[in-house]
Amino acid sequence: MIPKQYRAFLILVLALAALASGFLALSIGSIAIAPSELLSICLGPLASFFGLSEPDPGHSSIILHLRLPRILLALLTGGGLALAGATLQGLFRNPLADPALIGVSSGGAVGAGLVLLLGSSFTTASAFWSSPYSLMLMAMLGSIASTYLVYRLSKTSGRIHVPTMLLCGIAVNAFGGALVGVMLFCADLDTLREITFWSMGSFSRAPHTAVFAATPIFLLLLFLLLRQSKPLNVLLLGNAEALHLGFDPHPIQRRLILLSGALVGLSVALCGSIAFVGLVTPHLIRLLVGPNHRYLLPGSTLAGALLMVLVDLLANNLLTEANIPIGILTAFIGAPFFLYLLFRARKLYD
Amino acid sequence: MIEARQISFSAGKQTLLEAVNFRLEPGRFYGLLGPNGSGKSTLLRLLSSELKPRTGSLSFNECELQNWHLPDLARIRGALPQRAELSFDYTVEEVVTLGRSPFGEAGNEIVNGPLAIESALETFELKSLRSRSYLKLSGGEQQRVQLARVFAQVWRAPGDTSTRFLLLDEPTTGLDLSHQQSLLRLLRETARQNTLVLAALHDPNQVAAHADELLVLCGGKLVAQGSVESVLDAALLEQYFCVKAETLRDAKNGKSFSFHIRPDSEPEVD
Repeated sequence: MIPKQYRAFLILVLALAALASGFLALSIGSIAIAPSELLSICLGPLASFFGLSEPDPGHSSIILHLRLPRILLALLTGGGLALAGATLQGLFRNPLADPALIGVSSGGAVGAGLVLLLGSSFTTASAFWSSPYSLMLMAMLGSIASTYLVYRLSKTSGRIHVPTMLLCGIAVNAFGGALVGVMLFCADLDTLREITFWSMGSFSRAPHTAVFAATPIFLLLLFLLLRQSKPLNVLLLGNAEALHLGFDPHPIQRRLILLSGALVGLSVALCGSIAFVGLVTPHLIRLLVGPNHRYLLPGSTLAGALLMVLVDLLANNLLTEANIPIGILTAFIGAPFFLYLLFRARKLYD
Repeated sequence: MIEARQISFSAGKQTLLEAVNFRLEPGRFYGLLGPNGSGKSTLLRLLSSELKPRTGSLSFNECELQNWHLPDLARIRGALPQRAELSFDYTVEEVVTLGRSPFGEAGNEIVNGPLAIESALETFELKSLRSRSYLKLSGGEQQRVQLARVFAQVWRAPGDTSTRFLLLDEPTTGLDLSHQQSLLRLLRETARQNTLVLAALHDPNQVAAHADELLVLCGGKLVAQGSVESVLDAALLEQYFCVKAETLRDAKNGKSFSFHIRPDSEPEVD
């Protein structure tokens, strides 16, 4: 852990690093775009006022329609999943709770899958994104429902039964997997690619209009969830203790399920299921600042955003001819990390 | 003041408390005795709003418990559950600071957060452990941290004489002899400062030495209540706890007494 007085400083450093990585990712790609041109694209009509030269319209289009939505989505999803992960770990009082592992992401995928199946809009690739709003809404509802389900099932007489929590995740994941399987089975070749990319996690599939429309919802959910640090801190003591301190645990838990589920569902709708970010990030931040959510929540959000942009950068530039799906990279990093956590937990309990 | 009128509680078909009546006053230390499973924890959980009575009514300061606003109650009522669930590695100081959560942002100057926390750490000899991880402490040390958290919660600024309520479920658990002694002395002193202390205890000698009044639960019924001198005797211990005891009077101070529990005492078979 870092000394107490540096915790706020760490948050600041993470915020600056996330911002800087975003700008870096905007300029790097198959076509490199100089920072000065990037600035004039971002400033739009104000650019000439600051004496910057007019940007190349082709570059402008690349930035505004391809890279900006992709990086925005990476930042929001990374931050959102890490924040949801930190929240779920507090809610379940267990550091193994990850949105993808306990089935929250799959719940979102089920919701999104239902929209696609019932609307038969999955049969052509262009139709996959034809109704992004119902996709987002249903994915959010699916994630909220599965969070609630897992929470209710794994809670016995006020305590969380961790094996049940993880087993519930397996069940919901299997159901989500089967639904994606049905879609793959019925889809034509182009859609097959679309669904495959979506199920492996990708930031460059969702149309930029949908990303821009989802941004305020993302920000609102992040804002509301970041304000829950105090109830989460009290809740870690136990339900009875929280009640004694004047915090009725049930409405707080409902609020946490609603907000974190919605956040995960939204990211699932737009870029598929991305595992382990919600597990690794809060854990690293907890090592630095301790379990106090006042620092853990903003720290995890910013670190998640930073991490996701960096992983996205890697995924886009590791191979010259293709982009690696994000979910594959995070799983390569996250799965061994999960095993390490299990190993540590075993040592702690033995 | 806490008043219970005909309160009952049952879980499934099992009745855990039956028609319990009492009236407790601030300024007194009440010991709650009873065999395992007699309803002590249930009663404390009812009083701390964790459970709701099936029938009957409970009131704090002449106001029905369900009409109290929970955060208001948290500023005057502290409770210590029997088992702590904390499994994240907060530092000792962070756990104690959480005790001030009912008073706005922790450490708020207006409510003297730092003063309350320091005083609680001092009282429970935790100053040298303040930066240690709670999870790495021994059971007794963890219990002292939880007690300090509850004491920080009901702490009063100097000059403040408003009423406080302390509900403690087996607070001596895990403490060594000297810490048990100092805790019981502290409870007695705290009660003198317009605080109502109700603590579930197991040792009749501790009740005899420190408590003012006694409540005895057996099979969910309140079987005895009153001042320690008038209620607590060898016959009561034999009747409800199935042990044979001799009363030892202090030669110098006739009022104080203790029990010698005979090691060979066997429950009598009726």
